[in-house]
Amino acid sequence: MNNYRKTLAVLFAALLGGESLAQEGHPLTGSWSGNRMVDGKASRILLVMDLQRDQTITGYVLENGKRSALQNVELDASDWSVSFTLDGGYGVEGSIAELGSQTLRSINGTWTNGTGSGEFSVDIN
Amino acid sequence: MKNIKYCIIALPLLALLALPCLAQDVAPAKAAPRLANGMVNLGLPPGEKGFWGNSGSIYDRGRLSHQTNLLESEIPFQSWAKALYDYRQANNQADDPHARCMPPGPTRLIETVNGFEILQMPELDRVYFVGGGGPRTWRVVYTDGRPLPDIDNPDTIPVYMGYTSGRWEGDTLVVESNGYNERTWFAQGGLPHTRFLHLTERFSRPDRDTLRYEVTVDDPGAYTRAWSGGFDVVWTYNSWDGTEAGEIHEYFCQDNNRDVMHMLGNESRPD
Repeated sequence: MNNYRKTLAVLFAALLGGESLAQEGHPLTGSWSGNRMVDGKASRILLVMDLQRDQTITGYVLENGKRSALQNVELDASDWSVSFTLDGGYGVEGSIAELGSQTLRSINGTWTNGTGSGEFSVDIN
Repeated sequence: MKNIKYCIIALPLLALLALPCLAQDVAPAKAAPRLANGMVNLGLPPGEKGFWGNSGSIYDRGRLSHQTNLLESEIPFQSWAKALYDYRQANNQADDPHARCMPPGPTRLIETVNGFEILQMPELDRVYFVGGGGPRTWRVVYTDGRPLPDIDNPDTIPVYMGYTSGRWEGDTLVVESNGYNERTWFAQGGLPHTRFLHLTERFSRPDRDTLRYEVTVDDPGAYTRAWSGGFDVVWTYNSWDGTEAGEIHEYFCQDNNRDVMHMLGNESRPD
């Protein structure tokens, strides 16, 4: 791609991202929205995470009107893998994609509990 | 023998001719200007031209950076912050929000090639920092003795340029600030920060052409301990493109963004 086309592409991407308010701090901090697949159907999720002074991550998942607190949130910065469990619910293992992007950062992985599992995917808001 | 005679005559002559140059080199710097009330003036003296231009970095020891600065390898990053900083270096800082016309953050405001001005308004108990960089950002430092907000209070809304409380210690403006949001890179180079960021900045003008900036970065979210660094800023008459206008020219990155190639990251590196 020549520089002219590169420049146009970047300008277009910048315009698309103009309304974004991405977090530039801890990569997990912020609100995320997406889905987890349950029995072949998408269940809408809002995920909120916040860094504390002691480096723990707190937050919650809002799903079907139910709010569940996050527990044991772990981030491995060597490969940006993420895991957490939900109070009384399922666990998630995944990784951050598009780490530096203001618009495209996401967490993609798998949720599991004792009896089931499925895809888990959320994008930064 | 003839050559030695020439040298005996020529060397003292050369030394005499060089004296004016030497005298220029060691001429004392002009004193910092003062306001009518006697306070040091960190900005433009009346009737003159120029603005604050080139600066250094708060880490490493480049030309205008302080020689006491931490080296990059000595910055006490939290592990995730180090990994994120390294990621930003590896992709040539392609994700820099300032390149996308987002506000620069407090230190970054005075680290752009477009320069900045400082406007002191003692009668209003405030000092303005006016950035010449693309988003045309300004920062206000209040010197009315106000306390900083409690950042753990949910009513404290995190903001781009932070909440400020400034005071004068002699000729030095000391600025405490907190309440930053996480939507900027607060300084040049991609240093991460979190909402816990608290800066203590010291601005002084040791001579007419030098602004000294010293900062202590206290952010337990991104760093394992508080750390300090600083740089000098040079009084200049030239815009970023070398134009000798003596004033900051108009530049809005929302239109005619000069930093587009920056967003290409490694693709913008020369082959």
